[in-house]
Amino acid sequence: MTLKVLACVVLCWLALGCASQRKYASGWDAPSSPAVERAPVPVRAAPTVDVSGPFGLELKADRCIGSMGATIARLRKMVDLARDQRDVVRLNCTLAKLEEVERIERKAGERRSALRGFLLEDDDKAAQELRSVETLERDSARVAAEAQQCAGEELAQAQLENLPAPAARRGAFARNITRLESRVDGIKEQTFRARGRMALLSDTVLSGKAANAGDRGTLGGLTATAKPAAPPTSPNPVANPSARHDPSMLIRTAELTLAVYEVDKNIDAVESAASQVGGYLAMRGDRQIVVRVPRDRFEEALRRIEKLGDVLHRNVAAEDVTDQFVDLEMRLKNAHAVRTRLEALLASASVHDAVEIQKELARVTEEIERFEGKLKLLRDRIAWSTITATFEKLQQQKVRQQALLPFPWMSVIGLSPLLSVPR
Amino acid sequence: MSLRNFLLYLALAAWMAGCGGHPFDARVAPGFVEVKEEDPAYDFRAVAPEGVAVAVRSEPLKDAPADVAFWERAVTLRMRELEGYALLGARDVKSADGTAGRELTFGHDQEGKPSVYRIRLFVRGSNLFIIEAGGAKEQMDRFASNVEWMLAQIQLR
Repeated sequence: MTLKVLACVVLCWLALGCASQRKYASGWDAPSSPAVERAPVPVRAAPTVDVSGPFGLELKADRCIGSMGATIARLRKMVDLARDQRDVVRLNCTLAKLEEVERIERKAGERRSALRGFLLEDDDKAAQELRSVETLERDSARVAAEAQQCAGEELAQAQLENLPAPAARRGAFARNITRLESRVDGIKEQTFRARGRMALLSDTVLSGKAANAGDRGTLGGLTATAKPAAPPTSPNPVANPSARHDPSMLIRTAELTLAVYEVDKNIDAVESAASQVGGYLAMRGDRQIVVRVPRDRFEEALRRIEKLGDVLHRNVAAEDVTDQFVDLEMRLKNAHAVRTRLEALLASASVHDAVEIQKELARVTEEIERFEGKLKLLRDRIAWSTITATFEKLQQQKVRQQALLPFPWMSVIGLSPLLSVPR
Repeated sequence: MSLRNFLLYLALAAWMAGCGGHPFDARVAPGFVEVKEEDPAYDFRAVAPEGVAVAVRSEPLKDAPADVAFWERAVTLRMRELEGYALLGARDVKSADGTAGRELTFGHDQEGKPSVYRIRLFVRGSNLFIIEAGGAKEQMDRFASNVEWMLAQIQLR
């Protein structure tokens, strides 16, 4: 009995041991045991693509077409950037190149379809089709290079920077990059302006020396001698090249408030004083007169006018418009360059493109006229100082606190109460 | 009280009443007439038919014992900056009794016509005396001697 029981135990143990071995063999997880270390899982190697053989030709063709797709994506970004920057010339150029690459890609797709047809039938023809696809890919690369050339370094760089960012660039890093890029753009803009200003100043210094050596009667191109008031032709500081870069880009204005006494006579006298210094009448009202005088005789005119009456208030201001002037000049220069390029494009454009270019030309021309008008106005305001003489009481609220004293009799002095009819 | 003393006091009272109770004496020049007002802004005012007026008033200085220079500055500020009058001149003057003061002359257009306004300021005792003369510039020039005479005759007490 004992032996039977022992044999049963041995048999059961053997049976369990076999079962566990089968479990391992069938791929079940082995029970975790501190004594037994699991073998490291081998890293799965990247699949190697066999490009030899008939299907390898198809794969090569697919790669070529994929490359063209990437090129098209890049060109589309360049087009978008050019559109954002409202750069017509670049936009037209990159659009043309994009269309060309898309056409090449369509051809490559047709060649690839043909290649697939020849795969198992005619290896030579399949290889020939692959060569066609590769040639087309080279063509697309060439066109893309041309697009980058015509779009310029700046846009190409921007396009490269705007390529799809890897995951690592996303988040805070990408935001930092964007911030830095905007700062770099700002610094570029400042550098551009500073260079313009430096060039302006250096030219001014040179022209100023020349003017001093030559004619002492001129100031930055403005003739200082008095001339008849009418007609008031603007002594344009920019009409003369030596006066273009006058360092004193100042708009000078003066506002005088004079006491209300002999107003008509004094208004005549103000107009006369302005005429005597070569100025002219800009506006005349019952109690106000505005005159424009050459800026180099501004002080003299002001002195003359101040002597005409009792000046209650005097406000002389000078506004520096160098920044505005430089900006406008740069914008005008750029607009002229764009117009020149558009005209060049128009000469060789198709009918459809010509219509678009004409529209852009009209817009750019309008812009040029606007800039020129602003520049003209600015030059006029620089060349001619404005003096406004007003014969009136000062603003009551402004002086009331100063001039009011707590003595009732002071409110009944003056001509009105003195000459009023008694009740 | 004797009759003599009574008559003396009566005469004194009549004399004071004749002076109107104002601490100054003013005389009216030919061509002018004194204007009697019930609620006068002025203690004395005489006008000419051509629209020239001369007026006198006294203000007690008990609350603001300032000198002539102060009042000159105050009047100048007010007339120029608040009223828009042109200051044409300022000079030292003396009243008939020898009190020193200042005269300011202003110009101003009244209804489009140039007018002149003269104001003399005196401080005597505890009173400020304000003497004014004004009118259209043309008439002020015409009545210059009459106005000057009236201003010179004002005696302060």
